[in-house]
Amino acid sequence: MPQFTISNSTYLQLLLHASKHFSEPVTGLLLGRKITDVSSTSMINITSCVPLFHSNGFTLSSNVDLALTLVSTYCESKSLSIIGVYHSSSFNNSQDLPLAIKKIGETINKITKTSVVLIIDDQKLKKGKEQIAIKAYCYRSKWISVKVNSLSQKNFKQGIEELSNEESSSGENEKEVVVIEEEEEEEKKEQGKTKNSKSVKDYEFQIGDEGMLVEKFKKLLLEEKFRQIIDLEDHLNNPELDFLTQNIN
Amino acid sequence: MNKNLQILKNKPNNWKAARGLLREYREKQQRNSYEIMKYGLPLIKKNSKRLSKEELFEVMEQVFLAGLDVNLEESNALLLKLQKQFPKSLRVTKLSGLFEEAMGHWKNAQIIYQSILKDNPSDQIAQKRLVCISKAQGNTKLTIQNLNKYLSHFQGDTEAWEELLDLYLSQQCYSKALFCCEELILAEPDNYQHHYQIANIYYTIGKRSDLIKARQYYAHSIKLLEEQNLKSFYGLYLTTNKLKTLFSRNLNQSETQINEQLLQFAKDKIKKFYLQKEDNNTKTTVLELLEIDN
Repeated sequence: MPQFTISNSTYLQLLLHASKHFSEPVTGLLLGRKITDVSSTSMINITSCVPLFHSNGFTLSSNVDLALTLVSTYCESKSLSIIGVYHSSSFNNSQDLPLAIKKIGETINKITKTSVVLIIDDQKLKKGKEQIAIKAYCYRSKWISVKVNSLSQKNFKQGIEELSNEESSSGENEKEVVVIEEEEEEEKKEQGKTKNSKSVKDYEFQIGDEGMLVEKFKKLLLEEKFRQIIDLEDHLNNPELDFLTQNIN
Repeated sequence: MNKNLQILKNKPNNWKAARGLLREYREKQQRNSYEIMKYGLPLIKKNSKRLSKEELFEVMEQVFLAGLDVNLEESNALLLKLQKQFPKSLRVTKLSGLFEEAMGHWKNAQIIYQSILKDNPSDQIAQKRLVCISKAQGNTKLTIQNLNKYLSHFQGDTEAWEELLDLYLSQQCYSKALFCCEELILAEPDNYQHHYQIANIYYTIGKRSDLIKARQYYAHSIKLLEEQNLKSFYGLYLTTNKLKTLFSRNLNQSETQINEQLLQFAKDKIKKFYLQKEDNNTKTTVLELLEIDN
């Protein structure tokens, strides 16, 4: 089934970017690879992110043009592509998808034919009740919400069993379903069967184990790793800093 | 890095460095809440006798404000102490209003500020906080209304104009954003940031005449500050490039020539700039981009 996955380090990094600038709206780009297999179902893996702004700079097309130009040049040299954009609003219970973010997403969609927007939901990070804190949207002629599924070890094995027990509708060959390992970013390849239909219900956004990610995020906050996050705005104010290299782990 | 901060990284218990760091942050009015809480709280709890009474309460206020961002429990404790010490203080009442805001108790906060305004109708801070509450509640249109009302009384408040500019940008009301930017330029004509910002807005609106205005403002920003103004050079590069690629038919020969010269000027400056720097991903990417363009 068509699905999106995000690596653990990318998820943590975008949260750290938002933590560093807790009082401001935060925006960044998502980079990754699109894998299309024989039956033309696609898997989109988000493998890294580039933090861009910690202000309302994302509403100005001069800033966005600069960001997209620089990042797409960078992507070509690393055979990555821009998959989407992440954003965290400065309001508490804001409108889910700011217009300017939609526009950035639609621009990305024109180039890479696929676009994801992740909105950081800070309501899901309340003390004691932390969960996976992103809402996902993908673009299929309009923006639709995509369910975010967190894989725990138990569900992982069960899910794979279920997949292999399903009958495929046209007797196709077994496909490889790529899932994110909860320990590190190693991708485990498992056998599974895919459905032929491309209805919205089939879109899924896979992320690693919730408990593990929450614990790791808390640890990174205590270690103040967010200080190492450098975004495009930081670079423009101090060009010594390199916003295209991020090493958080 | 900041001297005091460096000392504190190695010796977190050095009260002199903590005191110095907090003084600096108070002077520059910086909102470094993590650091203030980390080094200020031990200063209050363990070394309060080292500070004069006046300074102790200033530090308490500073750590209280930092706690609103990072540790509400500590802020609550500090607020109670301050309220005990200064029971009828207007300043402490405002802090209690801020605490209610941080907790999300908007109605309580509004009541506090409105009672302040009853006795002190021209109190700038209370009026400003009421605007902030409507912003925090997510009601952008109401906030814009309230902020406009506030600015009709306090036209000189550049911070408020910047906030209004931000709000208009978030709603994509670019022409109104331009107006705010013009007010900022009137108030601070030598500030290169305002010229850079207005250029960004003209670029975003994007018609030919707007791009030419954007180009002028980027150039002016560069004139005001050349050495550390890389972002204006990028703006100049993008604008001249856009004019060249999208509007070449609408420019006569002399205009095309000027545009080309400015484009080259911007490119050369950006290149020169990065060649002085150490090798890293950003440098490689930028130099590659400029090569592709050539």
